[in-house]
Amino acid sequence: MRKRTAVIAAVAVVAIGGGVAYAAWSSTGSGSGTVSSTTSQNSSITPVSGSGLYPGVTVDAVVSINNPNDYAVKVNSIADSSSSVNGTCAAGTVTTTSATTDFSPVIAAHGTQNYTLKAKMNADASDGCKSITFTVPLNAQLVSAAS
Amino acid sequence: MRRALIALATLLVLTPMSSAADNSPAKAFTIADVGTATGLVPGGTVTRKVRVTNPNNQDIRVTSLTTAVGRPSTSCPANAVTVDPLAVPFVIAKNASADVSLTVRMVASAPNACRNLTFPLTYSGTAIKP
Repeated sequence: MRKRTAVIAAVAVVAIGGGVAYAAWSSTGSGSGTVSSTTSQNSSITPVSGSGLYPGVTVDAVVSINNPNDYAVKVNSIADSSSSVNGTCAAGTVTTTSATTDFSPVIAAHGTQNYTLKAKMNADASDGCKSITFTVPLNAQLVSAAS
Repeated sequence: MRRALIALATLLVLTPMSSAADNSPAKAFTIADVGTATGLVPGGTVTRKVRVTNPNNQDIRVTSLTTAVGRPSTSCPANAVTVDPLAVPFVIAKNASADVSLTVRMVASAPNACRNLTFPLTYSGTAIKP
């Protein structure tokens, strides 16, 4: 009887010791580091096509926008604009709008994408507006399309 | 009876020694960058690789690893950049290191003020005995 008691006591000591050891063994870790955002580069807009204007008509004017960045971008808007004075052709003779432009195609990193604007010549355009090329300044807003 | 007492005495001697080794407080593990992590843009993600080093003489299982992101500019919102917490626990052998990849995100609405910045990261984690 005394022998059995001694063995039980020994087992109890081992069991308790093991339980304490497991519960106490945890640790924490820490450290510091950095991550950097990139800068952005502006895109360029260049004319692709657009001709056949005469007083009162609206034609498609296609422009190409490039993306010099390492990430995809999308065009949020291209502001409405108008032509400058061109010889005897008055300023504002030709106006452009992106009201019906489909901006859903994103521009891949280092890629280009065409967008179609509407260009209209005023009905009262003078003869000085015949056979000339109009330059219309365009300003687009682009945002990251990275995912 | 005599044999049992000897066994008991042996266990009583061995147990404290074993417990002392296991109970010793585990040393804190360290977390440090591996290489650079750049190119973060609105709506995008980059991978931040970190090295977790276990200075203990026992293996550890890292159960959590979280990252607090500092603000290098007051014009860039506090929540503009986040780091995903560790997804899966992992074991590091005693006195060894393991590299893990964390995903860093920039919200799509991040303003221009968040361009070209270096965000400080503070790592913290917990580990248990495997």
